[in-house]
Amino acid sequence: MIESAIDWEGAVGLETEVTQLRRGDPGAMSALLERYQNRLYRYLLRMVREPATAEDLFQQTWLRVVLNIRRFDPRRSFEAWLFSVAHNLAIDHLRRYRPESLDEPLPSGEERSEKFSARGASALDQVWTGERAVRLAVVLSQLPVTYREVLTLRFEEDMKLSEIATVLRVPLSTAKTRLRRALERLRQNLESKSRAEDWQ
Amino acid sequence: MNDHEKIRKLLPLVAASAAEVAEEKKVQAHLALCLVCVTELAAWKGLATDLRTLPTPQPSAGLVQRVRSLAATELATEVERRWHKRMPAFLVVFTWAVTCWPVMWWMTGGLKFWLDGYSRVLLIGLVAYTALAGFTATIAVAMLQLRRRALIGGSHEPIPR
Repeated sequence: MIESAIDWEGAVGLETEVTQLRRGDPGAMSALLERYQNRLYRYLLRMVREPATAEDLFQQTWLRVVLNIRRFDPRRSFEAWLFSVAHNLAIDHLRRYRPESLDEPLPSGEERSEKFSARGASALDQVWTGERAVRLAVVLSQLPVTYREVLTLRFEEDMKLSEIATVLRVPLSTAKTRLRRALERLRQNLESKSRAEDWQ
Repeated sequence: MNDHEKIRKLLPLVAASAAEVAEEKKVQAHLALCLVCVTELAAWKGLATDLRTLPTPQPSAGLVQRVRSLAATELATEVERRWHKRMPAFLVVFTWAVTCWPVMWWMTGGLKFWLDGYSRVLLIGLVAYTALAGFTATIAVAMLQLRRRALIGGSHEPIPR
């Protein structure tokens, strides 16, 4: 009961903020930024894996939101729209680099997953000391971008399949298949990693 | 693929709360009979929980502040841009309405009852003067808009960081 009241209040607040932003209110922009900053940044970081690029895309996403807010249909979900803006920017960025290069090491020779996990590990030290989380973050970051994306949208952003399909602009069945395959691949990779570590 | 295999394929989706109601029911019915699938589902659910509780990396305060101020600037520019688009159109319509309305009224005989000969001349002079001013203003607004568009068109620089 209390939870649904909070949800309702949140939805009304969001609607008001979006309406105010459409009128050009900078206060509404601050409120929306505060509401989504962590989630959007996390999503972008999962997508591109490099903090500097994620920061750049984070900035570009919000600027695009400001520029295109009047084109947003208020009857639709703002969240799905926001993440689809971020998705398009991230995909454009990833396409600019060769898609096959996404899982290659960085020019410095450092593995992308190492870079990602190293950053994650410091956060983990503060929040969660479980080794499982570290391993999961590493394995997750090694998955192809389509799988990382669908997993973060489902489990971290808590989006429904229909919302995921909207963000990715794919049919519902495709989103569902992608989610299943992503989970299967993640588990398979986790098990391989565990076996490899046990062997050592 | 037998039933057991089909159900196994659905288990990740059930753990992700992404299965349809019919699929969910089918899985639940199967779970009552199959201990292997119960164990398997528990493993998937564990993975789902781990994914849900991964720590959230946070953007730096500096980045958020930079985005906030950039967005505020962009919003102000956008509002101004909109105002610049609407205002000239309003001014043109208003000027022509103000100019044409007395002329139309006068032509349709609306002023006959109100004005004598001298006032009529005065009014025509006023109307002619307003029309000239309106015409000049329209040209000026159009030129300003052209200049503004040319300026905006030449300033597509990359977004500063």
